[in-house]
Amino acid sequence: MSPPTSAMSDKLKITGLRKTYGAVTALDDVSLTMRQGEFLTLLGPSGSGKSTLLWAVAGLNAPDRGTIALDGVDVTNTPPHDRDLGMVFQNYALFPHMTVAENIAFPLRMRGVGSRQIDEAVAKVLDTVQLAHVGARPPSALSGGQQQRIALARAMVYQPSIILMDEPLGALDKKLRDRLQLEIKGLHERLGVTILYVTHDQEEAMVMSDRICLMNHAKIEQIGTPEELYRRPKSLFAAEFLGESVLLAGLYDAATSTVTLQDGAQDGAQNRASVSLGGHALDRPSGPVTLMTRPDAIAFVPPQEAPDTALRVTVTSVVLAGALTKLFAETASGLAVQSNCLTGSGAGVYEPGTELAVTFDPASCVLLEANHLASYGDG
Amino acid sequence: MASGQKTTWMLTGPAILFLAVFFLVPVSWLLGLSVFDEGSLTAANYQRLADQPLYARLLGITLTIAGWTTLLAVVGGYPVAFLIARTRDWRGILLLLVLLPFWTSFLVRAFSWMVLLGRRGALNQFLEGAGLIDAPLALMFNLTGVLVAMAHAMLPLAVMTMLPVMLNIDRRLLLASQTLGAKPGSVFWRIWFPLSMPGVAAAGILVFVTSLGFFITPALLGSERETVIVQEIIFQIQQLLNWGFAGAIGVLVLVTVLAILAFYNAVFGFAGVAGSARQATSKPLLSAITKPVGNAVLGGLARVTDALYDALAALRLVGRSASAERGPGYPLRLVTALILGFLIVPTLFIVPVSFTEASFLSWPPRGFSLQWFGAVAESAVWQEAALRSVLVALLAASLGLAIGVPAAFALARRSFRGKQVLFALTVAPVVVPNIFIAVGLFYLFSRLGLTSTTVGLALGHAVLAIPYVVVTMMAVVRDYDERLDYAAYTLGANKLRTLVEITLPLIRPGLVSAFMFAFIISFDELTIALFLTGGTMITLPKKMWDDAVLQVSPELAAASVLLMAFMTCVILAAELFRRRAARIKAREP
Repeated sequence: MSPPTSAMSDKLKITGLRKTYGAVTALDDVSLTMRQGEFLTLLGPSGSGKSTLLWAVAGLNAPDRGTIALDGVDVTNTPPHDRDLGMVFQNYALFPHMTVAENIAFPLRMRGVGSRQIDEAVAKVLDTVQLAHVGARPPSALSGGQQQRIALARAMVYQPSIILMDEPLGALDKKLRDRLQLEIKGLHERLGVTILYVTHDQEEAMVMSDRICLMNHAKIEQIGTPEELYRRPKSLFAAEFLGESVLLAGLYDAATSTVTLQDGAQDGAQNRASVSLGGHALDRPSGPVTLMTRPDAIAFVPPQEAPDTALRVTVTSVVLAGALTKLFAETASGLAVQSNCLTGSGAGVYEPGTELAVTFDPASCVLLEANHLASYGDG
Repeated sequence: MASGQKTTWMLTGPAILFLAVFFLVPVSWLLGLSVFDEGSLTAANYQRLADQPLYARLLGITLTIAGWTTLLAVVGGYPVAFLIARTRDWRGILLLLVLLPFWTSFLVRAFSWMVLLGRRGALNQFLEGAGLIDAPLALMFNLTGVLVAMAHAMLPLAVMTMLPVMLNIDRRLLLASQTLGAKPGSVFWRIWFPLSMPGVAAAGILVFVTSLGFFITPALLGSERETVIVQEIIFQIQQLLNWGFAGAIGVLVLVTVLAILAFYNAVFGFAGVAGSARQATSKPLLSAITKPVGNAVLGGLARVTDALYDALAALRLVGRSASAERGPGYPLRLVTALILGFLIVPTLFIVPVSFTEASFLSWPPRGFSLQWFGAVAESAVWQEAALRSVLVALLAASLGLAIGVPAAFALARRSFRGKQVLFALTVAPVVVPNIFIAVGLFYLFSRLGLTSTTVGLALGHAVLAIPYVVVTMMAVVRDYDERLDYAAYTLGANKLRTLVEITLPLIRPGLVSAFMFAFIISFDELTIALFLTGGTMITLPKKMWDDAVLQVSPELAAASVLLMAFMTCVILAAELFRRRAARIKAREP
């Protein structure tokens, strides 16, 4: 094994990883660093390479190129059983021929731990996941949520310093998933373990992660805190994958820091709106862009309360989605604009058909590459 | 509910009726014959069975041969099944290498062993030529010859029974155990092996029960000391016409089989026979004893294997890498190659001797001549036998499908009272030794004038085919997504049109393979044919058997080669069809 190659605080360091399956590229030059104790989520649509990356870290597939280092030690060619990590599989992978307690004891037995210590450790970890009474049962006698917790217990009983989780809550219903998300988050904070988590559920990623690594087409699209990815997406893909977004084609003028919105086929005069961004869109040359913002940073106001250059829309539908009320509106040319407000706040709720003006929060606006679908000028 | 019951009856009625008439009645009749003598109850037959040590000895021999055969076939079959289950690229070819001998006539394979193991056989001549032995070894007409050929005969069955269970083992469990710290030895012994046990147990019981009723190999390759009990039944009927006593011996075999099955069920349960590796629900009392012992043994094996792996890895003889993706290592490949060689190569020895110029079987074959193929082709008896075999097999397979498929639909989809009983009835012909069915049918058919008729033999073979049709089709029907039928109903199709336009086209590959299965079972069947043929009504296996009892001649070898070539073509065609169906299925969303 090679000597430590990076600072010890880097728990996991992936460099230039590439993996192909026949003609399909599953990972394309992926690099990623995780610090000790971090909760990092690999998020992306199916086929984006997130599970392949996780399995490579576990040693369950062999990358074509690149290196994986744990605690500064190169483990690229180390078999899984020597990596000392914990892994929770999508469908739990509990051994059906062993009881729950035997499942949890398995990693300890593999490490030659004495039977008394094993019994103690198993009892303790069963207590931690609040299933102290099920040790003697076969896994099949447990509910999905219970099996998930046993899988978690099995992956942490030997106190690996990093735990990998491959869509561990994917098979559970929404309520249970919400609860277990918080439980896993709580365990992570209590135990200080590093967790690399895979999900395709953006809400789950936002709730649980310290950082999110957004993947698309075998590459990393963007890495950052949930806040960063939500507020400052760097690509149309990132903007659309995480949360709801409003995307408007426009022409950016760097001198005035203003985006002139182009409302498609209209003659222009009556509805050529512009948005002044103040100082928020630095370092971008003038030219066609997509203005991205979130529905919660948009407010609809009566036209007379807005400047003449405000974008005009007509409300098409109002949807009550629990705590949020969502207003959907369209410009004259049919571009969709959405505004969310808190249900019960009473502010900004209008009947369908109402004509309104749109106000933007400049600080929440992001300029992205021009979208070929809503291209500027030539409709 | 009433219409549901009616449908159930329509689906299961034919199977119940058919098996009652052609299976339950003859078997019970034979049982009756053994205890009745001219209308009065008698224990004379059983008294004789108990008094004469000969029969206990024959049963002992039968059990010994079956036991050794089971051990050899299961131990030899395990690595082959393991490799087929664990490899992807080679699975098709390896499977074919097991299927070909599986469907090659038992008679042909026994003849090949005779060519190979005889006193002046290929093996002895090779060893003498190489200077390894001075005098020919006694390889045939003794227990060695019987066991070698029996293991060879049963090995494919063992592989095919273990394979579904192994294929069902979730690959992620192995990966999970690796991430939890298990080295390759521990992965195998603590995870894979216990999970494959239902398959091993199922293979064990199937091979054992089949071997108990198997007489071809012991008769051809054994001596008097390897006479199995079924041969005695045949002798009692064909030479002495002693029905009652033959029935009593049959009961002895049947009771033995049932006792073994009951023991098996008590220990393992029947879940594994259906090809499932799910929850191993062993009996609590038994597992309390066996589990700690088993764990200790497996733990020991795991430690030894892991130590070996570490040593080999240290010597760089095996790769130490992210190994989960890597296929099985070369030691396993080598072992499997040897076993597959054992399976394939001996059978090929029948080919060269069929081209001999001599009028007797000799090794090496003398010269080159097609005369024996000519003799077979021109012989009216061989022609008649071949045609009759095809006709009987077509009839039996059609009948088996017509009766078995509806029953399989009912068993797989409907819930009704007595479902367990019906399933037991449909698979019972596998468990009851063929000889018992054969003698019972002979007795019944001789009253009905159906002996020595094509129809009679086809009816008998259909009894044997139904279990395979039912089990195959139940799996197919279970796999079938019934929501497709519901979708067709909502789209306006009635039940019949849904069946014709949706269900049947989708399960056609299953139907074809069930038909093939039934066809081959009939085509290769000897025991029932032994009793129900006669005069010019003769089938290929019967003709071969009759010839072989006199002498294994070059003519018989030529007929065997033709049969083997024919079967190989059928199997390859079936395999091609299956793959095409699989490709079509893969294209579905």
